[in-house]
Amino acid sequence: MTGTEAVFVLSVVEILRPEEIVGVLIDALSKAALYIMIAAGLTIIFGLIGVVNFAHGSLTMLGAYLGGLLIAIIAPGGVLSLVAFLVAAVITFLILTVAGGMMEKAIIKPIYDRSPVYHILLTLGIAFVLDELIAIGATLLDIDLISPWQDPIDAMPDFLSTTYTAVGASFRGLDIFEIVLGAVAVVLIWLFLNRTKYGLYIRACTEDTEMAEALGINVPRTFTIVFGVGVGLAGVAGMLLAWDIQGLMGQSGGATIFLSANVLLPAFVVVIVGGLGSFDGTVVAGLLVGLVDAVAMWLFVNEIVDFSALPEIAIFVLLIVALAVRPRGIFGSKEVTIN
Amino acid sequence: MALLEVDGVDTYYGESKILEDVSMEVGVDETVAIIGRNGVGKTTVMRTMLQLTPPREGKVRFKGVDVTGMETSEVASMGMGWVPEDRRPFTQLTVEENLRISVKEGDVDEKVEEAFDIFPLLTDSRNDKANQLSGGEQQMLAMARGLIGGNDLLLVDEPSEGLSPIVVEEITGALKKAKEDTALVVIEQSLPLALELADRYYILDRGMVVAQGETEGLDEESEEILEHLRV
Repeated sequence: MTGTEAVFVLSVVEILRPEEIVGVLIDALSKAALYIMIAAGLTIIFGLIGVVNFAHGSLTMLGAYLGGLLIAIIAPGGVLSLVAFLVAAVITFLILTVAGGMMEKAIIKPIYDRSPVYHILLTLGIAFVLDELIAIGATLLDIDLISPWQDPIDAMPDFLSTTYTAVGASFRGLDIFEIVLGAVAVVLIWLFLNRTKYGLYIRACTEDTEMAEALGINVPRTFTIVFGVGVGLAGVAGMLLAWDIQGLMGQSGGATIFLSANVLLPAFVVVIVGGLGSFDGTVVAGLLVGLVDAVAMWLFVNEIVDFSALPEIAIFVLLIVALAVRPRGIFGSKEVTIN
Repeated sequence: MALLEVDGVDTYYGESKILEDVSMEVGVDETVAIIGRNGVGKTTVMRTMLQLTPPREGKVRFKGVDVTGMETSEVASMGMGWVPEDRRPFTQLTVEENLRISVKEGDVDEKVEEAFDIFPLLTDSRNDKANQLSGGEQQMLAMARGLIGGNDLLLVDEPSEGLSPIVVEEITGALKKAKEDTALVVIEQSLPLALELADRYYILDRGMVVAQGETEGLDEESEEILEHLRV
């Protein structure tokens, strides 16, 4: 047996210990919460409007900096910083929802009738402009763009940054917070889609906009609301990432100028694996991608080995397998073609 | 004043002219049938009325308001409903959700129960997704959506197409009841049914109105109708 094979076998034996399984599962769930929150907006926007929003990563980054700024300003320290986070999350959500709605009305709406290639080019253009504007804003505030922005991280309550041990497994307080927030977000989005008038409108419009219009539903307004809410969700996910320096897919976390690119690709993986436009699919795929990420991190980035690129590769292998086996995704109802 | 006036409309799909100088009127609580062979533009007339396919020339006035070029949702909110030929239920919504979404005003729960009173056969499928319904049940659902929508004018496209006699009877009964307080425009291939339901008729041929009149005293053998329907 070669050295590499021995390391692999040892790793597999190690992961089968119950405390390791619990630790990896907690990590998987916390990552899944982030993946779901990032991808939820993307999939709802695509499902209803049919626009593949390449600016989604940049909007997530905008949420990270805007929310991070709010936390840095209002967090008083201690447990109250958690309250400050929630207040900042609501404010960030509202600001980005309004901004997203305005963006949809002013820039995206005029090209709805064009081919998806126009959607991609336009949203890519918006992403570049947003990235530059965020960079200019951060520079003006004397924020280092390369390293994780420390101010919001410093404002995090101690009990979230502390590492705990339970049933032999180690995890951060932030992991539990992310899991709780992710679960709350999933429940709220589900209730919005399934128990509100606008949720009903959204599900109807996703299927047949013309019939929805003929029933008196204001489809353009529904599109604007959905786009805004999707952007707002991305912003809240960005806030969480500003706190989480562990990051996703083996990449460093925290608010940096790389955040937009770092979250865009996994968000697309989650949306494609789950099925374009399916929120249920996004939840399942988010859990799956979170699990793959956590297991890959555990196996390939530890005290024995450090192959930090492998978690990212593992996630894209999942994407390739999903596209090869079930191109429409787990819950997707149709394949998408670009003419 | 007529409830709906279609005044000299020309409607196109792309560069193809489908309707030419079409004019029609529908009075309050009146039922009008649009008759014609397949492909003469009957459905396009309804799409033009609802502004799903707005006309390039001419005007559509509903309740005295010029709705030409208006958003379809606005026209629908003014009280114009549509039961399309292919029914088009929202297949991923439940029967009840399909009904709830169609209520424009008033007590939603009350209106939904009203729909189940009109079509009791749908009651057992209340929580089923619409894609689980048979063709006849889907037609009842489409009709129920139009009937509880608080519409003053309901456009009904081919209500009996492809349905069993029992379902046709249900649908016809519902339409007869509806016409007591709602104006109807009905496209119907079955001439006896169209004449039974309607007070007046328009015959369309190659996108133009070629005949119109009262239905009283007419039947499927009447020469003034048959001369326009022969191939």
